[in-house]
Amino acid sequence: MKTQDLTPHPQAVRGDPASASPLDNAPRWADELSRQRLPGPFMQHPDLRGLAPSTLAVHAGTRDDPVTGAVGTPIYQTSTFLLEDNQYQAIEEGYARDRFIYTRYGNPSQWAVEQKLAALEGAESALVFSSGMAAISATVLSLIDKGGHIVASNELYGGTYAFFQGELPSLGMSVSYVNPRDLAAIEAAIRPNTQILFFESLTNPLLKVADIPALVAIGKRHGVRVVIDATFTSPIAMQPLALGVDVVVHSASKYLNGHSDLIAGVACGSRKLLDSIWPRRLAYGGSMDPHACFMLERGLKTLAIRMRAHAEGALAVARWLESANHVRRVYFAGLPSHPDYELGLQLLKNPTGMICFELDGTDAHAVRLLDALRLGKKATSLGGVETLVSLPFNTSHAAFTARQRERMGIQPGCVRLSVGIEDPADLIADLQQAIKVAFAP
Amino acid sequence: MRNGIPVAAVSELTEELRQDPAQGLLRYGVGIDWQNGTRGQVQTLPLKFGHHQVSRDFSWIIDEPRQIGGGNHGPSPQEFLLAGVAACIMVGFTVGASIMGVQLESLRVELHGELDLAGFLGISDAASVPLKRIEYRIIVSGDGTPEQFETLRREAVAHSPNAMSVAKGVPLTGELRLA
Repeated sequence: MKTQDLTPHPQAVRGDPASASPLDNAPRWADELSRQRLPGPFMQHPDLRGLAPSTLAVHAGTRDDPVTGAVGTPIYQTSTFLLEDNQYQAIEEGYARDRFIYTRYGNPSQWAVEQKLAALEGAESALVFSSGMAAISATVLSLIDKGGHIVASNELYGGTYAFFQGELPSLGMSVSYVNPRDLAAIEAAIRPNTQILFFESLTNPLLKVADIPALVAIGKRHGVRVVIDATFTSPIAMQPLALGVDVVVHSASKYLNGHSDLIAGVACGSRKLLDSIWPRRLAYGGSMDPHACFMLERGLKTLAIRMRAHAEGALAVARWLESANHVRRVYFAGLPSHPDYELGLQLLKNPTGMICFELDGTDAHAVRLLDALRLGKKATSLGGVETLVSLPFNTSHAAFTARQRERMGIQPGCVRLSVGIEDPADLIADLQQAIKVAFAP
Repeated sequence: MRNGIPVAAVSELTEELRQDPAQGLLRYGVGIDWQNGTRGQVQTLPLKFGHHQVSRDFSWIIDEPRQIGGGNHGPSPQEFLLAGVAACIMVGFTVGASIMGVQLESLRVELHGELDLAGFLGISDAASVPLKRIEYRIIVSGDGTPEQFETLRREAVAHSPNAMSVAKGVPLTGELRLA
């Protein structure tokens, strides 16, 4: 019986076709090395310049199947790849990130969504992770060294704060927490061993707008990198890298995916910095499953229109809340009453779907309001197509005392609203009846 | 990675420095605090690497041998000087070997320095204060040819900042501050 050759013919390059060996010219010293840093790694390098975000969201990175002609990126549900000389050489010469070797190192499903995210953020390179915290921990630990110091917002997301406060001290690293809107305090907190300024584009829950150009100027003056968590804004509202930020991180579970059905994270920035983050993704193990990559890629295709719907709905809801009975105060970046409205006009192309409002009552009234909602889901997280409602006092800020929360500006009766893409009239009607129930005698 | 050296990254850094030479300027610092006798504690100071500051959180003890009045609690200043030159040659050798595609099996760099204490003590004008001479010996095995290893020896020493600082001398300036 004739034995069939079951091994497919090796292709020229299984990975980034633009990536080449540094040793092509038989070099004798570093000055004769030939490899340069290129954007990527990507499976192809189309010219995407000039395309609008909504177009990039659909097309960038997405690759039709060359074998079958199927439209859209196939799901490369594999843990490992056939190895040829080309991959062995890449491992030996230190550019393994550019070849398909093992899915923890990289996978075409990851690369497709990374290229889309890089295009949306205006980044040379992107890395997806199994969660936003995996992205944050790998990024931070690659940008600071033993004994290093971070200046961070004192209104950080609880998960980031737990990592900074719980893990970094045992690694000999330290963090100073400062008011994100007090530029003088931020600059004064910088020490000779400070390596990162870490801030969020919009704070939780009061939605203060980070003055990113000013943070970048401070970073440049002191030789300190700037990392921005842009989860609340998305690249549709702002592109921090264009403002001079070094690395942008997101919990992709929120607006980027937009459907509250997966956990993922991403870091975007220069090829140089992302190449330094990549070994930490390998070492800490926060790689993203190919199937989840497929879902994130699909979610991202509608990012631009979702953000438009979130913002339109949130503006209508926020305007209504400002005139509603039993509502003391409304925070929304698109309302002129917002303390950072002017800065938001400069920095945000989209006010997002995030609203925070204070009931003219107590946290107990807020709990009753949540219980009475029919459409809005009582759940933490944000950025989904469905409206999500949560209370800082028993979720994100439960670890603080009532007095501490008040000092941060979080008053009793504070409600965080992530407005989905439902019809705002339905959301307003739902809120109206729920507020009525909450304050019923 | 061959010899644990990321040659691709070395290549990319080389190209980056061609375009942005300031990124290749490093400003190091150490401070030593006297403890007692001849013993001191060294602390590395933050490093300025190109446009960025980098935390350098390392500390060690330096002392003199008992034979010249020290406590012998750590290597001597001369041993640190020799170690700094040896390590620097070693780095150049491993990077160079990786660039030439040579797999190393073992590598040892030995340094020997000769000092006449009469210079430090000021006993005789004829005795020089600096080390009289420094000799290095590189003991290597791997898949390179003798000619490749000889090229590596030459290149590693010629490109070693510490070896060349010692061999050619660098300006030393200073000041006194009253604490």
